[in-house]
Amino acid sequence: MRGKRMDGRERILTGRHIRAVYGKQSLDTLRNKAILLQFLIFPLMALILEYGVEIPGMEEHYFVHLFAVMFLGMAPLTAMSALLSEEKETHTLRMLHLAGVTSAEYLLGAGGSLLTISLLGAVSFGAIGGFGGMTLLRFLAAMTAGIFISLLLGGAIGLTAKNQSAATSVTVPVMMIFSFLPMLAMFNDAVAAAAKFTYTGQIHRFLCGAQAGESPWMFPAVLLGNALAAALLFAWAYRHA
Amino acid sequence: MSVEHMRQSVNCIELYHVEKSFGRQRVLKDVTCSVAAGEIFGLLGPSGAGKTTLVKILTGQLSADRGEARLFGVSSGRLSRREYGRMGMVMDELGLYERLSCRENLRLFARIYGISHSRGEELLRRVDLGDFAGFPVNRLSKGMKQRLALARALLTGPRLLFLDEPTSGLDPSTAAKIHRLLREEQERGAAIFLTTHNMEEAAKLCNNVALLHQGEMVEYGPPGEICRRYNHQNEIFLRKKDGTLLRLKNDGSGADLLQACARENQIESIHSTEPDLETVFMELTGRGLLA
Ligand SMILES: Nc1ncnc2c1ncn2[C@@H]1O[C@H](COP(=O)(O)OP(=O)(O)OP(=O)(O)O)[C@@H](O)[C@H]1O
Ligand SMILES: [Mg+2]
Repeated sequence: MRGKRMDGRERILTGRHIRAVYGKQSLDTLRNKAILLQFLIFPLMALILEYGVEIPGMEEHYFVHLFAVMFLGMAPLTAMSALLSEEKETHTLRMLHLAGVTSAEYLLGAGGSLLTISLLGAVSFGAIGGFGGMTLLRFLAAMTAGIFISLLLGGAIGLTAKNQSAATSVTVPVMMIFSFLPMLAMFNDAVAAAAKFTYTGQIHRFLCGAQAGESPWMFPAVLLGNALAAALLFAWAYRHA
Repeated sequence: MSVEHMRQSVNCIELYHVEKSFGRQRVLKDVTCSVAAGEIFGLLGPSGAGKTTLVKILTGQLSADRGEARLFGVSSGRLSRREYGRMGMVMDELGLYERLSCRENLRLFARIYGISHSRGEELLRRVDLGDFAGFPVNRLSKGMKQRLALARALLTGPRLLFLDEPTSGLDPSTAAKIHRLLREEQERGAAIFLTTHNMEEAAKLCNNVALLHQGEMVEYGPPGEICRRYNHQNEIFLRKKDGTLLRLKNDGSGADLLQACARENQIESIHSTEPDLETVFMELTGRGLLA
């Protein structure tokens, strides 16, 4: 087997390394109160408001959709960027590298763990909404795509940021834009026009079934476009970190 | 096999004319030395001398501008998993997962290396952290963290250990514990490369030391030998039981007096004038190790 090299040119993935990082990340997230809170607060809000608030004329599952989109725009993105910047700042990432863990193995393990936790969150939204059958599948598919894009964006920020506070100062505005645009779009047409081109905006419209009069290609096109942009950003950050 | 060849095959570390600059600042100048298996080597120097930089070059975390650093005969820029698996290190930034427990930190690395978890438990006991295995790292003291990092470095039973200031800021008894562990590793045949500002530690622990001053290796050798080399006065101080202090030339001329005092059971203490490493360093550089 080819060994690890400091210049990052090693290619072979070792399952053992990925599983080890996945395990440590799952433990670490459970111990990280600030991050854990983000994963719990949105489903909790959705639960309370979905069953506790009744506004006449309000569309069905209004709060589940709203908080699900906020969740996917916020939790995976902040968790990923906080994680990477913290690992760099505390030099733990270097110790992993020196133990032979490659960057790709690390990202697969840590990202995979955050993906799992995010998906658990998505499933809990599905349960709160009482979705079943095709509705649930559609919901989970849209959430998964969104979570994936958020992880890539968070990863790109975390990789480029020098330390945790630098990462936070970039993460906060980015996640605010993506999480709140869908909500603001309800009050303002100009915002709505812009939100249409973001993945969170499209996912929200998709969940609410509010795509009347739009090309059916709009949703996959915007999602793919956003994913591609996020992937390019991530690839660029990966090369430069 | 030539003699030169045989000598090289037991050297874990070899440095040839290593140079390193950061911008215009020359941090390492023409550093050459070697460390053999079973040897404890101490790199001594004041803050900013370039100690950490040299450790980083050796472990492949930085590249040298000129010269060559070899580990197990492999250039430090081309170390593979094989070499990394044979070395352990404790850097100045320990790099421990603060929210995970001692046990979980070791488990992570044991899984990465594919070795049994029981090895981690055994090492926790060896560094006296057995009772704290379940403690999260952010609740440990500095010395405990340092010992945990040492346990992690020992997981693979490395043949080469790098320790960047393993005892700085530790109380003497904790430092002594670490020294004992290092001696055990030495007896096992491991080579140990440590950096320190503590010349007492170096004199007690190291087979060889190098004095680094502004990136230049100004002296190299066994600590006792270095001190004797700088014993310019070559005199003996003799304190008698009545409190008088005698100063004798160590060239035979004081032999009669010495003998007489000994015979009369008059000797309180005898000291030679050989300097300690700190004094040698002062003489060489005009400044102290702690300055
Ligand atoms: N990444 C870097 N970029 C620029 N200069 C650096 C860098 N790393 C170290 N230096 C400089 O190199 C010199 C040597 O630093 P080094 O950390 O090797 O010293 P040291 O002997 O380990 O000191 P200490 O005992 O304080 O740990 C210092 O003057 C430092 O400012
Ligand atoms: Mg240092």
